[in-house]
Amino acid sequence: MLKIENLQARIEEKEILKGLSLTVGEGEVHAIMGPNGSGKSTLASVLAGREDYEVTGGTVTFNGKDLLDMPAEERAREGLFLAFQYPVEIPGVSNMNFLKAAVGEVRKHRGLEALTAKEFLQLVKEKSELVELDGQLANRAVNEGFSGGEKKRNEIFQMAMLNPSLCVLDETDSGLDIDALRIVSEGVNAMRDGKRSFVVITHYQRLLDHIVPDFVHVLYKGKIVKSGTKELALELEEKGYDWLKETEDAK
Amino acid sequence: MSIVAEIKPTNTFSFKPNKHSVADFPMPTTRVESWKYTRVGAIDTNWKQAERNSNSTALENAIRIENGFITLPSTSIAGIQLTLGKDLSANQQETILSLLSKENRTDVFDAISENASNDLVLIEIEKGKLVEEVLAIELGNSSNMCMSAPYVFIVSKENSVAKFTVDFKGESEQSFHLVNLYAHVEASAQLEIHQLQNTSKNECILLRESISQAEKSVFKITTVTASGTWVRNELNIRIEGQHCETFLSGAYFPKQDQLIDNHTFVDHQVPNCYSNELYKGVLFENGKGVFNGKVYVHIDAQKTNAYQSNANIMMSDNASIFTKPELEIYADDVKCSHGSTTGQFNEEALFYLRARGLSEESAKRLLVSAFTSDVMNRISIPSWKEYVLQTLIQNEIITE
Repeated sequence: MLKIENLQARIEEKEILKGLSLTVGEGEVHAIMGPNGSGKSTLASVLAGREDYEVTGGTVTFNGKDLLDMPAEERAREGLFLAFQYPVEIPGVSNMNFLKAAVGEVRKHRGLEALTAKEFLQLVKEKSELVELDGQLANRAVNEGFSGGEKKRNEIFQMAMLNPSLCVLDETDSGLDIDALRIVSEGVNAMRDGKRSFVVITHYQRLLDHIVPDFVHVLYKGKIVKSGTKELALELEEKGYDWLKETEDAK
Repeated sequence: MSIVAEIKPTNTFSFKPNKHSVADFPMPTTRVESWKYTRVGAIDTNWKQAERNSNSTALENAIRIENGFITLPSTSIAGIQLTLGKDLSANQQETILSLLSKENRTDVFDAISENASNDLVLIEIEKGKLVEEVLAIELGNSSNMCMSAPYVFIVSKENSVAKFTVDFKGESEQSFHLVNLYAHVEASAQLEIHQLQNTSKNECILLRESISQAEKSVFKITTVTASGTWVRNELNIRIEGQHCETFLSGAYFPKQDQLIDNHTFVDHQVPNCYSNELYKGVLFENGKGVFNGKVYVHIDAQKTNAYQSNANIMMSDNASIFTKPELEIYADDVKCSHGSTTGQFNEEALFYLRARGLSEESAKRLLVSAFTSDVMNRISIPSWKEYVLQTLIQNEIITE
């Protein structure tokens, strides 16, 4: 599904990813944890194709294709979805028109027939229920005036609409209260079907109580320094990142 | 060669005493404040005075102005009286002279217009009449290198309601539309004018509009310039009676080397009136925009509410916008505000849309539609709004 090898990336003159390797198989859920500044969000941005970041080395293969060679929109059409840490407010663009355009592009790329207006509305209804998103929100401008929780639910709603094969969740838990966290996690879990893969980026272990990962990786100074199963997340929660920093820095 | 050398006076304004003489006025240069950013070079060339196209036929539901010559629609609209210059009664001539006398701007283009004018039409909306049908005016130059100089006079009589559309069509390779529109909105009357300028290739437009409002009247105007090599719209609105409402809005999209200039003037002469101005620009390639919005609140015009906003998005490093709000307020109990913003696209928004599968081009167009939607929402005629949006889609400015 996704194969990252020795990935190096920088923003302006600052090296952030320094040889990151990760392989995500079909249907797997990988959690990426790490202290602030370790490169977690950079990884998400580089995967999604944000142009501020310059890839200086390494390769990323997505379903056998060179991901780094594709512009952001093509990655999305190929089935990669990034749930933003900070979803952008876009006044004047209605959620519905935006989604219609996005779903249309994605389906066209995948060789699927365009949805009729009725089918589209049916899909909206079904998927918005998944994250308990009020029908009114779908009619408003993209993220405009949404609460933090509504924005994150809207991300998962869009994810469900676009039906990606790989979902990258960038600190989706940040700023969520306990109810929103439950709703978002249930939405994500409902999309786990044994085929779709997830990369869940988080600072805290709490999210992983709800979205239980198959693998946990710890990112530090731009590299994965430790990998394990979900127990690793618990260990990190207990000992904190300082323990890890000390061991790593001593090397 | 300049326009001036070519003019052979017409007799459209033979009833007007003291016609201006072209020789008395110089061509404005960029040293003149109101022409600081707009060079007249493009329009000061060897145009031929337009001639009537003998094959021109009447349209069913629209006034056709071709090469500056006016053909009335073949069907009449109840409540609207249309009179061509040659058929004016003495009273109607007086009406026109009184409209002209309200405009105190006199410059070389007034003199050229008066002397070279091909034709005029007087449109009178009957007192107390609510006209449901929209009166359309269509302007086109079918002769190459011609200068057309028509006049449109509108009188919205007391307590009448009417809506107009004005469509500048690009029909020639190169020509010059020098168009004057005068309107008086009588007490309690409502007049709306919705304009689209989509001229082709090398057509230039100088549109001069002069509006006056009597008490309790409402005037609304929208001007969308979808394309045009050199376009200058001068809109002067005098608010002469109390409790008036005025809405003036526009959107402009210069591409390539186009120049689009909007000069507006709202003259609050009396108390208790409301004006609301909203102009938005999206500037592509080497496109150049000028916005000058003057609001003058006279010393007696207390309780004036005047709002003005101009916002621009630059789509290219080579595009330019010159924007100047000009507020002169002499009354002390008023609410007036103005705002002017110029910016780039929100890159975060663009990336967000692309990360959902939209191409960069369609993401940009979606953002342009969003940016200008508040201006478009002021177009109160649904079919006309659709026509304007379709034109912008065809010009690859916005997306469906």
